[in-house]
Amino acid sequence: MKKNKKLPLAFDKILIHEDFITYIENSRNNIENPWKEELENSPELKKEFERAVQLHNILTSHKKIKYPDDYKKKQINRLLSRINAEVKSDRFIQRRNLLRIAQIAASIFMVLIVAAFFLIKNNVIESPLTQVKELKVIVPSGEKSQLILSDGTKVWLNSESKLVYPANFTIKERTVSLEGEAYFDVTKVKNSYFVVYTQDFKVKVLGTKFNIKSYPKDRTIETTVVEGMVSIESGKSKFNLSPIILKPTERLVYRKDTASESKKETRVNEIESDMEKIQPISSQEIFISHVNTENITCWKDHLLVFDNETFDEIALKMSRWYKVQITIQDEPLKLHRYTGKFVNNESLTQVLEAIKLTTPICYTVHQNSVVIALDKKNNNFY
Amino acid sequence: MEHLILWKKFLKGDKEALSLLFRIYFDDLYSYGTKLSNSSEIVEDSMQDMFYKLWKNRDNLGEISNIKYYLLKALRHRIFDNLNWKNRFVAMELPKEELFEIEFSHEDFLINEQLDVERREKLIKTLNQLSKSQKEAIYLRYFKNYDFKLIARIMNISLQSVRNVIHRGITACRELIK
Repeated sequence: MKKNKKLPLAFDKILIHEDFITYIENSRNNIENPWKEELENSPELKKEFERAVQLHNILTSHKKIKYPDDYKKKQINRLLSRINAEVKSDRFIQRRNLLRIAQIAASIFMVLIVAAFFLIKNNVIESPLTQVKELKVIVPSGEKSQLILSDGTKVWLNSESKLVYPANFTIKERTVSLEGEAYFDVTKVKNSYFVVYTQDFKVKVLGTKFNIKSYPKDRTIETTVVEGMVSIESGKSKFNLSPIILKPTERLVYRKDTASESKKETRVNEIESDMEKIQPISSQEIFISHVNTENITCWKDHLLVFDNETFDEIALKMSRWYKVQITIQDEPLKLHRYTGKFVNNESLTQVLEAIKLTTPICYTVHQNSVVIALDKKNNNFY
Repeated sequence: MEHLILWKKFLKGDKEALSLLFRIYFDDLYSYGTKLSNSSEIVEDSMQDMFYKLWKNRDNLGEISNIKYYLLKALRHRIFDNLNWKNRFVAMELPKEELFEIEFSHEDFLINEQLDVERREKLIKTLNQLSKSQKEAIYLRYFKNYDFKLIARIMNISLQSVRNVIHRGITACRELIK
């Protein structure tokens, strides 16, 4: 069984402890208290724990409301009669979906042709030379791409991303450099590291699956591990970072803006000192947390997911996804959060409509630019 | 799990599935609705509107992992909408906050064997003195048994804010326990 985190010595802190919720759920099924030993050893802790359970019981023992069946029936009939009154007319939606599939197929086909061209060209012309030849793949906005490197490593590239890689890897080290977002499924080769250089860091692995998001425009750089382990180290940049090991389901987020701010401050303070001095990275700029890796990597399977993300983040994601410019008109909306999963290659307007069902927004689409604003008439949140 | 199958059928245009979903989630939705608005008319209309809109937009909807959460959130939004619409001609200067405030009543805790009359009084008074968001978070956590992550999504706030809000709510109740 999973080892529980230590209990805090205060009933209120215990109540909001994540494992306490699990404990309460489990205790109904007579599963043994995982803190039994701890509680027996400390009377103070036991007292606080009992107070927490007591307050939990007070707050949860209330009556479960049930409404009469005829009342429900009446409401259901009201709904059904309203629906039946509507004449269903549109069949064209299905046709629109077909068109969408055709578009995707065409774009995949084009990427394949380009890749094939590079591979053939490379094989024919470069093979007599042992010199390492660099190849470059650029994925434009609104597109995604997938390629297989010479060692068998699979790479998925998200919109607006660039990958530079050698046509053939040398034996000792396999290095590529990335700008944007990519998912790597690295083939294990004995004694050979696979290294991804990003703008600020390098990510070193043996054989793993992981996701890197490093767009120059974004405020953060993120690395998420799905399988195996990766090591994040300072790369070609001037930052100094002692290697950080990431394990499966862990995500490292590096905040660029707080970093550059604090850096500015130090620079002001040390105005006399060498400007190119190596900057140590403080722990404030790096966050490691457990995440649902599925939500982070599913873009490669063409699923658009927002996991409690702010509209600021959502707008950026959607602009790359649909190759549009998105402007958010109202400042407070930028911090509003939304969760949703779109699995059927929904169109831009389908996604916006779905968001509109649960969030007070209105939007206008004009050619390639979208403006999202708070729906003033329904604005309850601010 | 079988409810997710219902959801899929509903997306395909199965009216039977729609009726079943309505019936299954009725108690949960309606009791939450009456916490947000004390007008049963508004709650009834909002439930109707919400399901009607879901039905009309079912081509734009995808699969979801938690139906109850999705419906609660949609209902919350619909009630806020309808309240504003109904109040558009009435007293514009009425503070909006009061319209949506959850109120805990004696009815809620009538069967509470943990408390005597006096402490029940006190509990209701304490809970009703909490801020709007504290009340809602406490309600979702202890009346609906939702974990912090779902509450964050329903209320559109971060996980840490949920923790803070609930923590403050709990601290206010400290006098109720021995």
